This record gives sequence, C-alpha cells and structure tokens, in this order.
Amino acid sequence: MTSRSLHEMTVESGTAARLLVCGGERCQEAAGARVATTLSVELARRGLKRIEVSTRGCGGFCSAAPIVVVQPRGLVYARVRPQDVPELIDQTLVRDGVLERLVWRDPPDVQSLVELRDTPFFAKQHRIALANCGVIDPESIEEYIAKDGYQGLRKALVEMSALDVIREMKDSGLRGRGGAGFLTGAKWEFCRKASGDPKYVVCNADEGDPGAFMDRSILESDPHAVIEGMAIAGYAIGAKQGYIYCREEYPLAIARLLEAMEQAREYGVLGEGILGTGFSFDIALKEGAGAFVCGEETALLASIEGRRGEPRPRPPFPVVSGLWSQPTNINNVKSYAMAARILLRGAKAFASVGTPKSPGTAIFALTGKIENTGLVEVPMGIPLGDIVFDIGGGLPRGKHFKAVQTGGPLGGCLPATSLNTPVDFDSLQEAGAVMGSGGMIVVDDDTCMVEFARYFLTFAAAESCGKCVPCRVGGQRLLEVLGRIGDGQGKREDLETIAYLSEHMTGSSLCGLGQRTAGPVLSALRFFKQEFLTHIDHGICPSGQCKKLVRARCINTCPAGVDTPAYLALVAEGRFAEGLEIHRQRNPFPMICGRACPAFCETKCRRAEIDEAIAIRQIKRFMADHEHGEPWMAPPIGSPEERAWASKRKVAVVGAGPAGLTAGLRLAQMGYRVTVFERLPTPGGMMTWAIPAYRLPRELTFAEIDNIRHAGVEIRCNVELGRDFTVDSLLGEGWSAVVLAIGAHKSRRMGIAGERLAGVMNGLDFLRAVADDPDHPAPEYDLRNKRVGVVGGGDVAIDSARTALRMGAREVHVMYRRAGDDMPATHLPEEIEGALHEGVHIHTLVNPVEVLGKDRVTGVRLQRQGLGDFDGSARRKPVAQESDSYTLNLDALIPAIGQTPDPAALDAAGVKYDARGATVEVDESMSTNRPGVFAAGDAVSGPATIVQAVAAGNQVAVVVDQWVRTGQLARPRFVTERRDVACGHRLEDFAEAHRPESRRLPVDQRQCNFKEVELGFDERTARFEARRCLRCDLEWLDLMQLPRPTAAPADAATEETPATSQGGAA
Amino acid sequence: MSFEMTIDDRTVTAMPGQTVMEAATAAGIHIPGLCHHQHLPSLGACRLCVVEIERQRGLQPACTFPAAEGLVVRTETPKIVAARKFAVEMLFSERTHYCMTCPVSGGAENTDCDLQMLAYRYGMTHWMFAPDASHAWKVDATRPYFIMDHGRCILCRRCVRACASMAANHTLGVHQRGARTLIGADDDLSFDQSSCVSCGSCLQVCPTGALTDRSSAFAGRESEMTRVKTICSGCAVGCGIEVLVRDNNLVRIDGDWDAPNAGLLCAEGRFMPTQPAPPRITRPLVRREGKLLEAGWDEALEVAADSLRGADRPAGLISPRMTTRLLAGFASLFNETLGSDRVALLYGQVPPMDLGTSATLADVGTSDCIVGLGVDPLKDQKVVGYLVKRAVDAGATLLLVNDQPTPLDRLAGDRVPLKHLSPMSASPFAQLHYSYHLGAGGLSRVKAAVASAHRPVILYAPGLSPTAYAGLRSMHAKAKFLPMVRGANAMGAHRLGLTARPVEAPVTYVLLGDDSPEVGAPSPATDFLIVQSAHRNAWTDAADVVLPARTWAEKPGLLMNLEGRRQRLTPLLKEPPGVRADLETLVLLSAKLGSPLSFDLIVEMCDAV
Repeated sequence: MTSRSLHEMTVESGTAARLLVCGGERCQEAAGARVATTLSVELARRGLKRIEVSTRGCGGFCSAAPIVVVQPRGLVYARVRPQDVPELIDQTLVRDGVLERLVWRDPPDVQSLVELRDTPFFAKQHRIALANCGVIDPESIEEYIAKDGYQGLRKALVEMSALDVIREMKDSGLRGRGGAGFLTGAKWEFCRKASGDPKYVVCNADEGDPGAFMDRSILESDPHAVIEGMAIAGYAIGAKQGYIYCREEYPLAIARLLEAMEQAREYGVLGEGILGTGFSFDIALKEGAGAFVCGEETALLASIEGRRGEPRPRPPFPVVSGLWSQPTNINNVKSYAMAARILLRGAKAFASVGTPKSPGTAIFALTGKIENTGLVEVPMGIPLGDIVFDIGGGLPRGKHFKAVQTGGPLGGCLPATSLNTPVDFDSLQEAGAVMGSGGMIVVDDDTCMVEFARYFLTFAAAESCGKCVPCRVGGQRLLEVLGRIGDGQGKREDLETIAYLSEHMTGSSLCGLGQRTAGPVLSALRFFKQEFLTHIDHGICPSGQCKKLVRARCINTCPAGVDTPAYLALVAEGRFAEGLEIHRQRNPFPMICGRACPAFCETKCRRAEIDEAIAIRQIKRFMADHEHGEPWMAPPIGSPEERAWASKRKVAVVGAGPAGLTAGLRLAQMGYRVTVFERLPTPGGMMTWAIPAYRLPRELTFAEIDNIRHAGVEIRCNVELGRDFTVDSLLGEGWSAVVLAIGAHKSRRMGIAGERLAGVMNGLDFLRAVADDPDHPAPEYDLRNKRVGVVGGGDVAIDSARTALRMGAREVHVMYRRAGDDMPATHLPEEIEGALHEGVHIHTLVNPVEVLGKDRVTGVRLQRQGLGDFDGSARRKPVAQESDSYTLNLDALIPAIGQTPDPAALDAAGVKYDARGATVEVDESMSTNRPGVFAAGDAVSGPATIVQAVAAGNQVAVVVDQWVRTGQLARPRFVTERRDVACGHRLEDFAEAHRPESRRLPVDQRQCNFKEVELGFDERTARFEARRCLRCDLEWLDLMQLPRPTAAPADAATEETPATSQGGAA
Repeated sequence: MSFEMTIDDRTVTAMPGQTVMEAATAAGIHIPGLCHHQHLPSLGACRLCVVEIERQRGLQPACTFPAAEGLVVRTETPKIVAARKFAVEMLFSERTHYCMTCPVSGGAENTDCDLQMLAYRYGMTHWMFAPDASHAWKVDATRPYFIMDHGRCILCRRCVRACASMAANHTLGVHQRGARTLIGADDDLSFDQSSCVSCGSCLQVCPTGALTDRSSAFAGRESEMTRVKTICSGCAVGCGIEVLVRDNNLVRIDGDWDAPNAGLLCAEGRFMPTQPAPPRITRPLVRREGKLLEAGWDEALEVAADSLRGADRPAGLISPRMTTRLLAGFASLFNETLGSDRVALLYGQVPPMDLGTSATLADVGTSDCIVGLGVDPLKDQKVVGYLVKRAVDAGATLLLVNDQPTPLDRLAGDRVPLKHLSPMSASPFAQLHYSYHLGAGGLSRVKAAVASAHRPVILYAPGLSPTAYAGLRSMHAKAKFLPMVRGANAMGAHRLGLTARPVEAPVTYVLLGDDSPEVGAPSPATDFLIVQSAHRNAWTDAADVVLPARTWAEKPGLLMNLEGRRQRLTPLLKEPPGVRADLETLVLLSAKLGSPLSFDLIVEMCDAV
C-alpha cells in the first residue's frame, strides 16, 4: 500500500480509512465489542473523524480474535485488547508504523506482514458459504449487493423458470448441509411436485450442537445470503411464505436477520413483486426456545405451529405434509447460503469443488485441543488430518492427538488411524463418524474416551424429547452403563449391553436424535475398546478423567502408581524418610527415577492448568538424595505365616534390570528366596549400561540395587540364559517359578549397504562400552577427534550423540527421518535441548540409504524425506524424495533406531514371542506359554521406561506369588496400603508461587567428562515447591465420602514465608 | 379407490388414508401397539408396532406409516421381535412395573394390562435392566373416582390424546423431557386442583395400571367378569356403555366405542352407578302410627289402593328415567284405571320438536357452527358439551344465547344475553317453566351465524318464548336442531303425551324408580303420599306407603334419547329378593283397584311411540 500514513490521507485528501473489528456475537460477548467501542471513543477523542470503525461479522478465526483489520493497508492485528487501542492508533494511524506485537504472524517466523488469507488457517480453505463472513458489514445490504448479492435471485427470477432453478440445483449436486446430506435440488423438486397450496419454505437455524456456530456466524455475518437463498427456494417450489426458525439464544443473529429482512423489503428483494417480477415472497422469523430436538425437522415444524417440539414419524415427509400439513421445504442455513452462490456462479463452478458425490465445501467449527480454533470452510474430500494439522495448526505443544469428534454430540470420534479419511458425507460415515452439521472437536490423550462418550450421551439423553421408548429409556440405560464403567463398577458384559442398547436405539428410535444417540459411544468403543477394558478390568482410567477412579492424576499416570501427593506433602513438612518409604512402596528406585524418569506425573499435573506442573521429579530426587546413605530395610509384605510358607520356596528372575530387580524385591518382601541371574558383569540393566553417567551416576544405581540385596535378593552376575542355565534346568532344580525380565538389548539393523563396515557401531554397544570404562574405551569406540553420525531420534540416539561428544568427537550429527517435533525423545525435551546446547547437529527429515566407505566408514548418503499421509500415530509418514540425496562425511556411524529382546535368549527359554518385535507373548496374567514362566519389562513391552519396568516388576510378583501358592493365574494387581497425609500448610499461601528452574551444569563444564548435568534442588526449594501441590487426593477423599486425614501439628520452626520460594534454587 | 398391498405374504386391500396398521387390522392381522389406540390419533412413540417394509430403511411404525399401493410389509420377523422385546424391556426398566402388586395384572391368556400381555408375548422372563427401586414415583389420588400412579405410566400418551380428542378438555399434557418426562395436569397441578372433569376417558384408554378406577381396582381380572353392552340412563344423551359385572355387582363402566358417543362418557355416567348408593328398599313399607313399618306386598298394595280409590283424581308423578313401557303403564293406570288426568313427569320438559331437521350427536361433533340457546350442556348433558368443545377445537364457531354464565362461555365467539321474563307459576317445578324471550337483534345474530356456516347445529332448551321458537323455525334449512332435554327417557314420555307440569291432589303416587328427588326438593304437597323407589330418600321417608322398585341395571326396556333414538336397556343384575318388576307392581295395584291394566294397551301405546 501507500507509504503515507492513514492519518495524512484522512487529513489531506479526505479518503476514509476503516478499522474492521470482529463482530460475531461470540466476539461481542468477549472483547470484540469493547475494542470497537474503545476504538471509536479514542478516534473521536483525537478528532480522527474520517476513520470509520465497523464490525465485520465473523471471519471464523476465533483463536486470533478479536481481530482488527486496518483498511486499506491490510494490516491484521490479532488478539487486540481494549488497552491496546491507544498504542494501536498511535503506531498505525498517527505514525505510519506497525504495532509489531499485535501483528498476526503465522507461522511465527514469517518476516513479512501476512494477509489473513495467506496464513495457514485460511490457505487451505475454500470459502463459498462463508465468503462474505468477516468481509462485509452484515448490517449493510449495500455491501452485500456490492459483493454480487441478490444477483442469484435476479438471475433466477428474470432468466430462469422454476424448473431451471431446480435443474441448476440438481446439477450442482448440493447435499443438505444440515447433516443428513439429502440432495437439495431433489428435495425442492419433490416439494414443487407435491400437491397443496400454500407451500412453505423453512430455514432451520436451530443450531444446537455444543461448540458449533457456523449457522450463527452466517446469520450474524451474512444474513442476506440466507434470505436470498430462501427466496430462490420459494421461487423454485412455488411458495410465498418462508419461516426462519432460529434459536432465541442467538439474539444478535435474530436482530440482524430482522434488520436484513427490513432492508430487503425496502430494496424490493423481499415482499410483493420482487425485483419488479410477479413473484412475491416474504419471510417470518420464529424463535425457538432452545430444545436441541427442535433441530429435527418435524419437531421444528411442530414448534413453529405452537405445539410441543417433538418429532413425528416420517413418512409423510414435510415436502408432502409439513407446516400445517402443507408441502414444506426445509433446509439448513448453510444450504440456503450456498444455494444463493450456486445460482450466482452456476452449478458447474460449485461442482468443480469437492468430490463427485459430495460437491462443494464443508464447514466445520474447529474446537478442542487445537491451536487454531474457529470456523473453517474446506473443499469436500480434504483429508481429515489436513484440517487438524494444517488449518488447525495441530495440537498445542506437548499434547498428542487422540481423536477427533465430528458431527457434534450425535456424531462419532475418529482415531489417529483415520486422519487420512477424506472429509465428505460418505467417507466419514464409512470411517465411523458422521458429517453432521459440522462440529469438529479435537481431543488429546488427556481425554478419557469413556468420559468423552459419557459427556455426549449425557447431552443427548437430556435433550431426548421423551416421546419414543428406545431413545427415552435406552439413552438413560446406556448412560447408566457408561457411568458404571466410568466409576470402575463396569463388567465385561457391559460392553455387550452397550452393543445391545445401541443396536436397538439406532434401529427403532423415532427420529435422528435417538437413532444417533449411541453414535459417540459406538465409535469410542470401536476405536478405543482397550480403554474401556482398562476401566472395567483394572479400575483404571488411563487418561485420568474418571473422577472416582483417579485419586490424583499424577498417581494415576505413574505406571508404578507412586502416591505422589502423599510424599510431596511429607517432603513439604521435612519428613523425607517417610516420603521415601511411600515412594519405595511402589518404586524402589527413587534416586534413579529422580534423574532418569520422563515424569509422566508432571505431564498430567493439574497445577499446570494454572501455571506450571509441580517439579515432582526434582522433589523426588532431593528427597531420595537427602536420605542417601541411610540403609533401607524393605518392609515385609503379607502375614508372618504367609512369609514363613514362602521362605521355603525359590523363585528365579532372569535379568537384573529394573523389572527383574523390582520383581525380585517384592517376592523377597513376601518371603521368597529369590535369585536374580544377570548376563552382564554388574546388575542394573539399561540403568547401568545404557543411561550415561552424566544423566545417572552409576554409584547411585548401585546404591539402590544394594537396598534390594539387603532385602534378601541374591544377584548372580555373568551367568547367561542358554549358556549357563536354562529355564528347564531352573524348574527342574526346584525353582517354583521363573520370571523372564531380559529386557530389549538387541539393536535393530538399518538394513542398508555398508552397515557392517568398520566404524559402524550400534548405539547400545557404544553406550555399554563407555559405561564399562569411559576412560579407556576399546579402540573401535575411541571417537576422539572424529566426525560421528547417529541415526535415530529416540533416547538411545540422543544419549549416544551426547556421549560421543564427551568421548571427544569433533562433530556429532544426529539423523532423523521424521520432523523434529515427532522425535520419540521429545518426552524428555531437555535431552534434545541439552544435545543442541552441547553442539550436536540434528538433521531431520533425512534417511541414510547407504553407508559409504571401503573398509571403514567414510560417510553416509542421506535421502531427504517429505511428509506424506498420516500414520497410525498422528504423525505424517516420511516419504523418500527419490532424487534428493546428499552425502555426509563421517568417521563413525552409530545406528540407534530401536531395540528388541534377544530372540536367541527367548529361544533358549522356550517361550513364544512375536516374530517382528521379538517381544514375549504373555497372557493377561503375564504368564508365557510355559506354565510357571512369567515375563515382564521391556522383554514384553519392547523398549520402555524404567518406571514402566518397575510397574511390571510389581505386578509380576503378585502373579508369581499367586501361582506358587495356588497354582492359579491371577490379575496382576499390585495393591499397597493407601496413606492419606494431611496438608500442613494453607494452599492459598502458595497460589502465586511458580515452579523453580532446575540448575544445570554450564555447557563449558560438560566437555569430555561425565559429570552430572542436572544439579537438583536444595532443601528449601524442594520443600516450597512441594507445597504448590493442589492435593487432588484430598478432593478425591471428599468425592468418595471418605474422611480427610487430620493435620499433624505444624513445626513452627521450619515455617518460612512462601515468597522466598519464588527465587528458585539458585 | 382401494388398492392392494402385501402383508405377511397375503394380499390385502387397503384404502387411501389408511395406515399400515389399519390395513392390517382390517385384514385380520394383529400388530401389537402400546401407544396406538384405534380411537385415538396415531403417535408412533412406543415402537411396538414396528414392521419391516420393503425398500424402507430400518423398521417403520405401522401406526403412522401410510398404506400405499404395492407396499410389502412383514409384521413379525426375528428383527421385529427383537425390537419389540427391547422396547418392552426398556419400559419395564423405567418405572415400577411390578405386576404382582398391580391392580390390572392378569393371567397370560387375558389380561387387563397391554404391557404385561406384550411381556408374555415376547418372552420377557426377567428384568434385563433392573429398575431403580429407590425412586419414589408420584401417585395422584386427589380425584374421587380414579387414581394416577406415575410409577406404572409408560408415557404412551393415550391419556393425553384422549383428554384432548375425546373430552376436548386439554387438561393432560407432557411435562419435562427425556427420562424426566411426566404426564401432568394443566400447569403441573394435582388433579383435584386442575381443570380435570373426571370424565375418565384417560382411564378408559390407559394400557397399564397407571390409571385405575377405585371401584374396580383389585376386584379381579376381566377374564373373571362379564362385559355387557347397555345404555346409560343418567341423562337424555343416552350414551352407550359397557359394564363389567361380577357376582351380581357392577364393577366398572366403560364407554361403548361403537355407540354414537364413541367411548366418551361423563363422570356421572361412568362412575356414579358403581358408587355406594343409599340403602335399598327391598320390602314394601306402610306408615302406621306415624312410623313406616315393613309390610307384605299384598297389605301395602291394599293400603295404597284404598287411598287411591278414595281420592278424587289422584295425582301421579313419574321419573323420566323410566322405560317407555313403564311410563305407558303409569299413564294408563291414571288415565284408564283411576280416571285422573293429573299424571305428569317429575321433570324433563321437551321443547317444540318441529323447528327443522333434527341433529344427531355426530352432527354436533362435526359441526362448524354451534348455537346454544338457553342451554348449559356441560351441566345437564355433559357428553354433548364435550362434543361442542371438540367441534370448537376443530375450528367451529360457538354462539351462546343465555341469561347466566356457563362453563362453555369462554369458548364462545359470541354471546347474546337472553332476556329473563317471569316465572309462570310458583310451583316446586317452577324452574322448568321460565320463559325466555329472544329479541330481534339476538335472532338476527343467530341467523347470520347459521347462514355463514356449512353444518350449523342449534342446541335449544325448553322454556323459550313462543316468539323465540318461531324465530328458530325461520332458520335456514341447513340448520339442524338438537333439543337439550333432561331425563333419560323424557323424549319417550313426550311421545306418550306425558309432560313435566305441576300436578297436585290429596293423594299422590310418585314412581321414582332408581331416580332420586333433587337434594332439598320438598316432597309433593299432598295428604297421602305413595312412593315407589329403589332407594331410601327424603320422599320415601315422608311417604305413607313405600313400594320397592328396580334399578336401571336390573330391568329391560327402551329409552329414547334426545336425538329421538330408541335404545334398549339390557338387564345386568338380578334384583334383590322381595323386589318386583315395576310394571308388575302397577298391574297388581290396578287389579286391587278393580280395573286391571291391559297389557295389550300398554304395548300398543309403546309401539305408537
């Protein structure tokens, strides 16, 4: 645009400038109206009279709202608050500048100012029904006409016969946007052919889906489009009267419609003799009272007639017998808006968008766990994932896509495996959801699908009109079943009950509401059955949403179920040993996990919804370190009689990793004589051999393993399954049971040429060699001054890269085939961050296709990868760009692309395993195909975390105990006594406190050594941080109507003011 | 007109406008239904009548699906059976359907509860979904004759539709929604506070034990009773009724769907006969030394005959509820045997019958313009009143000409005041003889209303002035007239020449039968009073001779209703020992008087009617 400021323009030439402010009701309720008012007031105060402020309807980009567009410069300011107004006027209108901080930039790093339509949110959209929304002033018919408004109507009346109009509509292939997708042109034709006079045209504007607001937006932002579409329909079918049935909860829509109709009458496009032709048509508006079911056409008609809004069976269909038993054409707001455009631009133009069976565009209200919420209009057939990840911008950082619900509360959810589904009427239905009227809710893994289904079901059941039996009663029964499952009282048969109820509700309910009430439940069950089963079988809600099952989300999320709030409360009081005891009840490795745990607990911490998650891992680490040196005597489990009985029995554990050691410990606590057999020279498994010392000093690991020895577990190292003993030999020599916890130590191969060249070493071997003796590595692991490549994006890859640096490598390059955000190691973001800080180069979207070199590796040829379809994990698949490769010169290459259990060991044990991943096949009781032989840890799950292995160890001990005692297999349910700890401080005092930064060793001090990088909290910091805990566990006690623990008297001497905690631990 | 379609592999003939259900029923194919009732508008709510129709998605309700040429329908496939069983299971899970303690529970063969019958039919052997036993459902027992137990309600809304479409009362409605849906009266009032008129239409259509009438509840299953069709003698409308009889007791009265009242009854007709009555008179009584003492038939008749014989032109008064034969016998006793012309009806004046074409009850219900002249049907002929309200619901205009407010007034589009002139006499029956005058202005308004209508009906009362009747005679020929008389057989009596007029003599014989004098009405002014009555009342207490009589339920005979239709009473009960047939009493009395009544003459008189 011009380089002169608008201020100059307005003063000198009198050219008007305009500030367009979001003016949908959602915005008006929020800040939009206040921004517009403040702008007007401020402009008036400054005498800038020629600058006009107008509302522009709803552009649909809600996450950036309220937006102020500065015309004619085209500047876009987002999320403007009233207090920004003076500065905005100063910078933009008085000076010829730009108020940088409010400029909308997406992606954030774009340099130039973007036009809204070029942002990712708008780029993939194709706006037909929403074309005028946010563009014109909805209160001005002139602006509508300036955008070719009423030209479609003129064309119909002047150039076409009614039959031509119907033919045009049929040619366009428009399917009703209310959700059912019936051909609009065919419906008009039926209505025209039906005998009866008068006929009526009805617009269904009873948009009732929670979260859906596209109809509202059109009514508020482009009301004339609806009026024009209805008049065209009236002409086509031969009706003179139209009704708009709009919910009374949309007062702005109603006001604008009424005003638009008044203007339309004034301009002769509504009323008697429209546009000078003989055609007369008028519209009346009827306000609905907010019953969801009134969106059903026959209920809607009953409501217009003044009767109770209840559906009636069809046939007869409204086109034959509708309003007051006269032929009536009912379409949705979007359908009429599209009809006006179809008449204007022609059927062909419309049908050229979308798919052959679903031409045109689909409109969605995009909400939920997604970056860009708002209204989007996309060509039919666009992949679902494009809407979520390209237009919607994906999920907020750190959240993982779980499902997307389409079709509102009567729709269905689709999982990650459906992200490639083309969005159109038929494909969505095929995939298990429905188009519906266009709600699209994205949920992440914090959403429990049982709870999610229950939520929609609660809505549908409450909105059932109560007329027909299947819907009224069935919905209630279904809700009870789901409630039962969500409360942990479910049974396996309940899933059959759900199927039974759903089948009949779907099959014999009177209207669409009842027929589709079960939809969300069925789709949730279809795609997330395991989650239902987890609720039923284990009483666990994996997402931490089902209140009765979740004492606190941190406990719920911890695979080992450590009672976090209890030990945090004890740490806050300075009672570290007690806290540690609670931790060890379920996880005997607090020092290790205080350093190397991904802290699932923190990802679900409710405090994060207020400010930041509690630094649970750091508090744990402090608590454990504080008691380091105090020997731990593991408490006995079970009665003295039981332990006396067990003391005569022997149990063998193969593998001294976290799973095996934990299993051994628990069995020893139960009284068994336990021997752990370990192939390597020292115990600890991956804790000792894979996690580098800068993350986890080995002496700490050994200290915690010593505790297990103290509990009576015998650990024999350097003995190998298959070489020194077999499962048969163990069972034959009087061992009552064998637990296989051999881990996953075999590295996957890349399967490319040159993989066996000297200088190629797999990640685990490398880490193990370094762990064994970092100061004197074998020659092949001597990386001093070398250029090292690491392939992979997991923990082993990042550990290898950082270790290589510490071993003196000159350059380290990590090569990962997907996008950086998709790295599996991202659950420890500080690891990647640390690697980058230390100078590791990370190459993403590349895949090694050949290792170069003659005897030794000299480099690797990398092929660039593009992003294709979505895979089952909501990540886009890397697609090789065949012609696009380059060479990276290297002296050593460390593939670290995954590990499996060692099939040779499993063969020796004689247990069945999965051929692809070499993971042991176990049943629900963790039992292998061999009676008395159980398996746990990475050997079963594939590579996982320490805490998951600990959990498996706890569980397998319970199963083994049952087996040895009774010969029966049991549920792997490790139960410990709950200890409720009173809150010793006022939570309010810590409302303002923030999570302290954890200290790290400066990068320059990390060179060529294995000093621990993370430095942990001091006592004061740990104790204050522990007090930020919201104590969800106490709320749960209230919910379950259990007594809260009484507070222990506070120790006045240790009481300090919370304010000091904000300084962190520095 | 008619067309063919296929139901269960049979070719059946159906008519346009019929539903699949109606076509099937006409062909003798039974499709179950709970919300469906053949005399109520279809709803399609219970989903019990679902059937499979070729080329239609899923299951379709037969009760609303229009019959059409070439439809292929199946009414009992495994899929349908499963859906029906599901619906029954759902209903049983919803509220307190404990058949063991329900008044309408019955055996498998014949039960009073449609829900229970369907549960047997579809093999529901146990609760698949146990209902919430802790939920206390409302029971409304505020009405005198029948009770609503929401716990047994299945929300089929037959009652709501009956209330609206039968009595046109619109008291019942559906409140709340979803699982909280409840049937309620007006704005959620208890029934006694509501606009309910206790006509019992809802009770009659209720398929379960939700609405039960106090007299028949727990009185046994219908399979143990006899159901007899007869006529209500409560008023001149002469509604057809079906009476459930067990052990010589009236248990319950239902409206006869096939009669012109089409199942509709008023509270009195439906409930009064089963209510406790005053003590029955089973022996003749004679007053001796001021006290009424039991006497033999012969002795009592002798005393009565003596007094009649000694009197000059004794007076005779008879209830217009009596059968035509009895009326004729009574008139003959006075005219022939006693030579007295002082014989009259107790009440039941009949207005002139020569105004124009007579209207039927059906005409009232389907009229598009109703004029009421001096009438209060919601008091005196309630079922006609309900028909008027029905017509108004369907769009008819209502013009009322009356001198005092009536409950119909609020439905009237126009109301013309009727000028009250003067009573003609001061007799106890004076209110029968008010004379009304309809001014020229009023008449022209009636004429205008009639002229603009297609099917006008004029309801008119006795006691208007001759000029008023003359005005009505000048109405357009399309007007139909319905005389609003009181007394079940007043029209029959009118044909016999018996009218309601004051008669007085020193000796008076009153034949009340099962009628009773109006509360507070003084006994006839006479020196010697003979009362023939089924029950004790103020007049029998004042009488010198009391003779037992039969009730309407115990005798055969004919009654003529206000349309002029002759209807037959069927005896339902056997009279108590000691009670004679009323005509027999008259014959015996006439014999004592020395001039036995001629049976032939009575028959001749009746035939003339």
